[in-house]
Amino acid sequence: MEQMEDKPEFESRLDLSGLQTKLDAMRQEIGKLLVGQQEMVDMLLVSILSNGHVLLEGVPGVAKTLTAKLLAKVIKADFSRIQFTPDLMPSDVLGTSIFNQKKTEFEFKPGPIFSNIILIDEINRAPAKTQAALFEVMEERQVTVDGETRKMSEPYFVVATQNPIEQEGTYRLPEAQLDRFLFKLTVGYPSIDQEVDILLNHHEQKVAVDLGAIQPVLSPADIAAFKTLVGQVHVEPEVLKYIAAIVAATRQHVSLILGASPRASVSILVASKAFAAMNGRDFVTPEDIKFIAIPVMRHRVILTPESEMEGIDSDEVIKEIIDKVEVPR
Amino acid sequence: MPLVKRSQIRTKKTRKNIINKFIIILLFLSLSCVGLSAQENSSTSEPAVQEAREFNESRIQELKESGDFDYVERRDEPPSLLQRIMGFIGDLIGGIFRAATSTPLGKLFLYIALFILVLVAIIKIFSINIKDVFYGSADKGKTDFEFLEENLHELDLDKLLVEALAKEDFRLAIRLEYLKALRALSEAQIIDWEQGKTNYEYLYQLETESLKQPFKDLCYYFDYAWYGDFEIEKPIYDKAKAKADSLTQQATREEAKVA
Repeated sequence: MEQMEDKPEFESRLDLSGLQTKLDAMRQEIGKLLVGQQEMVDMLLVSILSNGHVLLEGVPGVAKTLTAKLLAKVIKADFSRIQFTPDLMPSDVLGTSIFNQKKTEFEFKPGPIFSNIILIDEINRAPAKTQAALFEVMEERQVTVDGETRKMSEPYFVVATQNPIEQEGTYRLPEAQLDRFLFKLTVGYPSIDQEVDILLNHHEQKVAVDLGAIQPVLSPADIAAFKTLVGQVHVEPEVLKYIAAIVAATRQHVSLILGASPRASVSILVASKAFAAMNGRDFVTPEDIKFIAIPVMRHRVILTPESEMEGIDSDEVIKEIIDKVEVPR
Repeated sequence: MPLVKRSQIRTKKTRKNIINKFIIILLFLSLSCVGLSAQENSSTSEPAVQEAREFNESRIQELKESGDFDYVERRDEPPSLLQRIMGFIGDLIGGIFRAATSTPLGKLFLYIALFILVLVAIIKIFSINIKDVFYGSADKGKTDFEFLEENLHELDLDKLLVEALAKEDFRLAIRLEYLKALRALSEAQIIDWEQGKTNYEYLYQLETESLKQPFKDLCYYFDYAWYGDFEIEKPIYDKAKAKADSLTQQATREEAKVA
């Protein structure tokens, strides 16, 4: 709604030009290899600015892992990939203390979770014990092993992928774990035109050759500065009430046995501010909230067995709730 | 070989055979003698006294009375503890009912109790919410507060606008101009007014191209004034008002066309 026929009358109170320029450059770099999936890329950028983690869900072969790798490439930060398997142990992820015979003392060997951008591939393949090892690090950005707490360096961003189709050999993520993800993004199939472009890229062998040629455009210092800017985005009290009303409505809906948590309200607020900033606005509108609310809440609510049997999707229920809640105006 | 020697050897063999036969006969006779002597001994000993054993009647009676040896299937087993308790409760309720039905007041209480029981059963079977019955069914998806104090169509926007302009509250004035335009579009059935819809959704509903840009511009002013909390001066209000007036006029024309 910010397009004006004439010259815009209002000047932004925050300088968001640097943020927009950098994010445009990121989109451009990622777009060199990733065809389509614009919304997913934008939501990943929103989550980086909101200090949140993302769960990517999609059938195999829709560029979930490639997107995460590209995102890590465009950010000048450490990257590690953990392939979750059924025999993975918490110590394989967090790290463990090993006895050093020279020094005659135990030394902590950090696991792959000690990085800036972490790609957890197929998170639902590891058992609950290993998944639970992520609770502390995802929420508090610290790891406690052998009674010693170690802080993570900033930025700290976890991108996890999971396949919704396979049930055998997978472990459903517990609610507490799901609640720690800011967004659950569903990655769909590309359009016919986009698929032709993908084929063309492969035909010209772009993917194999150019993955290393992606240039980093965003530094950890940039991310920290942009997060500060996002924090200053204005939110009217009526808009805050609107968020609270949406989240509260999920707790009363007949099709849901579990509504969204207060953490979901906070996530909607923070992500809406980042989304507004990305669009060059220094204030949040109900449009931002409507757009953000579904990916924030879709993994935090639980449908009743009757609704599941009727084939109702959590997205449908959330949309129905959002459409019923009065927009502040 | 000389003849004498042969006869000597034959004699030796015969002698051996005779000795062997003698030993066998001797053994046979000795064993027979042992058997005969045994027979003689037994026949000569005194006959044993046979004791006649008798049944112990008390023991037999005891075994007869023991359940362990009772193989007859019992069809009428004694009632279990639970059955006895249920029977007691049944008798108690039966007693109460018998007592209740004996008086008119008792009958009345009985009918009331039966009515309540049927009502509870209906409520449980059809999962009826009592609150909904007495206070009207609350839409569970709807929130318990509203941002607009009244329905948009019932607000006296002109009066409120005059008051806002008198106070030079241009921020509020832009909001009221926006609401006026929204109401005009709704009354002209250009948009389908719903409280949960955002400006972007209303924009999608606009089919007339000439309405789209003024609506976008008006929403721009409203967004910055109302959600952005920007300082609004009179010139900006005037621009917003011009957009709102343009929309309202077009909406009126569209309404007239339809009529």
